[in-house]
Amino acid sequence: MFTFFNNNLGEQDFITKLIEGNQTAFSQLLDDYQQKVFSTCISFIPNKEDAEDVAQEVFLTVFKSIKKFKGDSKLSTWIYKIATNKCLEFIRKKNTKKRFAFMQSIMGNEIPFDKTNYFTEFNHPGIILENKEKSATIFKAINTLPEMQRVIFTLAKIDGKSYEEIAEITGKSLSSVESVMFRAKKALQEKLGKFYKNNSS
Amino acid sequence: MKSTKKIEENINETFKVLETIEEVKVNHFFKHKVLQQLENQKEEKLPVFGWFTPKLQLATLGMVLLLNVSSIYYVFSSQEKNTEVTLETFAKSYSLQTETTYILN
Repeated sequence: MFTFFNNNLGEQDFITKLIEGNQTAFSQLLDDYQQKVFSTCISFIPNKEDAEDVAQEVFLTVFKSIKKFKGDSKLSTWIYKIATNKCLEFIRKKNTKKRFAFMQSIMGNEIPFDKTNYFTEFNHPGIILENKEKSATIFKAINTLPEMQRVIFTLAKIDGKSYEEIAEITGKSLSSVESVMFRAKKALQEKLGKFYKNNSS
Repeated sequence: MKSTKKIEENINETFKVLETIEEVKVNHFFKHKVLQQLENQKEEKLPVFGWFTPKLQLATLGMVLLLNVSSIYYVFSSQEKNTEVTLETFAKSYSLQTETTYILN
């Protein structure tokens, strides 16, 4: 597929076209990034419809704020940064709604909502049925990690991004990404260990 | 001991699940939907008050504030004179001025 990003000059031209509101450039950007952005979104949000909604929002934000893009990073990095922030924002909102609904049900106003967090609604089409239970368990565990650990682990292990790319997206150094990743893995092992210990007894 | 081994196995299997996740293809109509939303936003963006730029808004706000401050200043500064005037008119209307007391003598 032809892309505009063969070199820096090409990318700069492309960005200028986007800022000018060139329809062909918008269309090209969507062709190049729709799958990548959607994959990032579904890595954080294991529900196809929700991930698609968030991915749409990502592109709308990109088009709206392309004028603010200063070119300090690659365009792709900037887009992934927006995608990551949108996903975290979505999960935060969903979890707040659930907590609010749970509080309301305690206060006596019955609302037909799930009482736990967002990750109980697990509907990831890329996961085969026999792995569904284990996937739901690990997604729930990932969601309890501190934000930076969650972001780095998800981008690396679910979205399949390299540490270099993650360092650019998060604005951290490579060694910092590696150390956060190590801590995230350790924390997850502990959480899963506790979970299986409680379930086996 | 056996259960610890089993737990470790379970943990490793759970981690392995992440490697088996297949890529989910984006909806065929995704691009169309985004372009449609963009078009809708553009239509919505043709506002009636498009000419009312933030600079003009600030200037208008400044004018309104200035008008308010000046009217408040005017009201309070003229209030003192008014009280004198009203006292005079009050005395006149009830014949309480010193001139009128001669009649009684």
